[in-house]
Amino acid sequence: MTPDPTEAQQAAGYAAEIIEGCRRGERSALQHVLRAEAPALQRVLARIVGRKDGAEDLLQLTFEHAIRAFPAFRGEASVRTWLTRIAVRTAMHELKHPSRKRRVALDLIEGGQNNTSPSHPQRETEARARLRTVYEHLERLDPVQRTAFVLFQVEGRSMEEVSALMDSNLSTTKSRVMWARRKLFDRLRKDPRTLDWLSEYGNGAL
Amino acid sequence: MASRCVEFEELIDREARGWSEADRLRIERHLGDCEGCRHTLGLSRVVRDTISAASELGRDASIERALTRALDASTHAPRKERFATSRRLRVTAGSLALAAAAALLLWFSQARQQAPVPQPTLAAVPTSTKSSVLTTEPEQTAWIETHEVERRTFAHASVVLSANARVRFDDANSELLLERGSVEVHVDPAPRRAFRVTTRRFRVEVLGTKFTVSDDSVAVVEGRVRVLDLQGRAIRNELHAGEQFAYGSQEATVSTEEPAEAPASAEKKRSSTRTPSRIPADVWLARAREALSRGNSDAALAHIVQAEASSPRRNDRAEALTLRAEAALVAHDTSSAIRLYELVASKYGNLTAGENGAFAAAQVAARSDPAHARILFTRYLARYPQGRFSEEAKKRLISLKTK
Repeated sequence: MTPDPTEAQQAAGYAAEIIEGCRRGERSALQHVLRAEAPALQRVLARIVGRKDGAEDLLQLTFEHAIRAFPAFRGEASVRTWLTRIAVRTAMHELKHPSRKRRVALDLIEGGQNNTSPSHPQRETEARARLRTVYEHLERLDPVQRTAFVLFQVEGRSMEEVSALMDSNLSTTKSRVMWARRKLFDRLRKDPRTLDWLSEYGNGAL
Repeated sequence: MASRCVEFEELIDREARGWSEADRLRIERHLGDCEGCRHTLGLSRVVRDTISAASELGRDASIERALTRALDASTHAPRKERFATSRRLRVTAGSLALAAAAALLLWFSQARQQAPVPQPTLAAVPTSTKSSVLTTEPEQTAWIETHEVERRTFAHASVVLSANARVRFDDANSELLLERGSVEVHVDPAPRRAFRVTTRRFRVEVLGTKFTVSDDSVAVVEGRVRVLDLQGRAIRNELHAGEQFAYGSQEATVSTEEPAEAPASAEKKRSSTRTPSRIPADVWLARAREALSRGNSDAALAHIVQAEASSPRRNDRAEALTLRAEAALVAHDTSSAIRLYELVASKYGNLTAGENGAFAAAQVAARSDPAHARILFTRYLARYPQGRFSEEAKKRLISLKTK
């Protein structure tokens, strides 16, 4: 997993005048910052919501919220953390109030741009099926628990970071992750499609 | 079913920040003993890698489109003005709402300080069922007495009250006071609020689970609870699914003896006296799942036998047979597992368990006997052409035919 840039790196990347330009609503400054942060935001949105259709709309919505909120940005958190918090809220709102009927079927992998080699279509097919199964069960989780789980277990963020992104305290976050993990894994274990999943992982060997 | 090993969960939570050498040794030792945790760790990695791999994308075009539209939307003058107006309206509306709430609060607090409200009559106080009686106390702390088994909702918990139960709910503390009878409680974990049941002898604290409490016992069906004395000291820090606490001695013991009769089964009995307890099939099945998650197929089979002897419903019988198949897998008896899955499919074909069994039989067979697997996948597709696993079955069939 690609580590996020440190705050020092980000601070070095966004000069004070850029941030000030964002606060004033200057288009060029906003483009500079949002374009740089967009891939990370897009990734978070895709992982939480789990569908391709509407992902661009969610990203646009995240940008709009950020642009409106930038005048009040005081720099207590890094720009990336602040923007990620907005993206997480946007995703959770979408989960709780879907703007359109959600399809469970996922095609997050488009045109062979995923990590699997184009010479292994079988693996790509299996990866798609696996992804579909995972999100089929993730869809049944409470949106808040699901978001906490994705941020912690998939994004690899610490409990403290997840708490900050979701505006909750640490024990609440831990409970959410624990319940989501138990419910999801209980369902996956009962799903016969997962019987072969662990063969390549050595059934949990370190 | 996910492992219930608390120690393992603490360690897996640390994986994101990297394990120390000491962590690694502890984990290896634990995984050596616990098949359930091995399975959970494997699933955790599968889920993480599956989602991570899929979302590593480059979508420059869509990023640019989203960014351009967002900037255009934000810098367009009329929208800005509308936004400014709507924000003022929201602020104004918010202020009005705050003022209204403050006025309401003030009125309410003044009303409570006035002379007590006259005792309500039964006709004046709404009830959820004709079978219960509200004793004459202010509505906020009314006791509920039942003549028959009934189900009520208190905050985020669904509660089945036994016949002749007497309870009162304190909404502020999410606490159900149980003076008489027993309750079966199913707490929704989503709101993330604790729920307590207090008897005359002890208190049960829970966060999202299903359990039964009577005067002198607690039995957990799902999740886990903590049992405290009335001074708040822990009698039992954690009681897991399938376990029971019986209050009867200075040092309360936990046993797997039969818990107090679940209120739902009291529907069949009209007597108000306590009858000999009997564990329902779904409790035995939960214990069997727990045993399988720990890799203990022998214990699981013992619980399954008990479930099958407990007058199970058809769904429970289907699940019992499915668990027998899983127990065979845990015991590495693949041929028995396939046979049992096929039996589930043939006996309960119209249930979800039946379809699951049909597909599972083919999946397991595919590991060692491709010819048999082809037959089973074909049989699955013939029976469930639009089934939940039909796409997967078609792809497996194609891959098996090319082998």
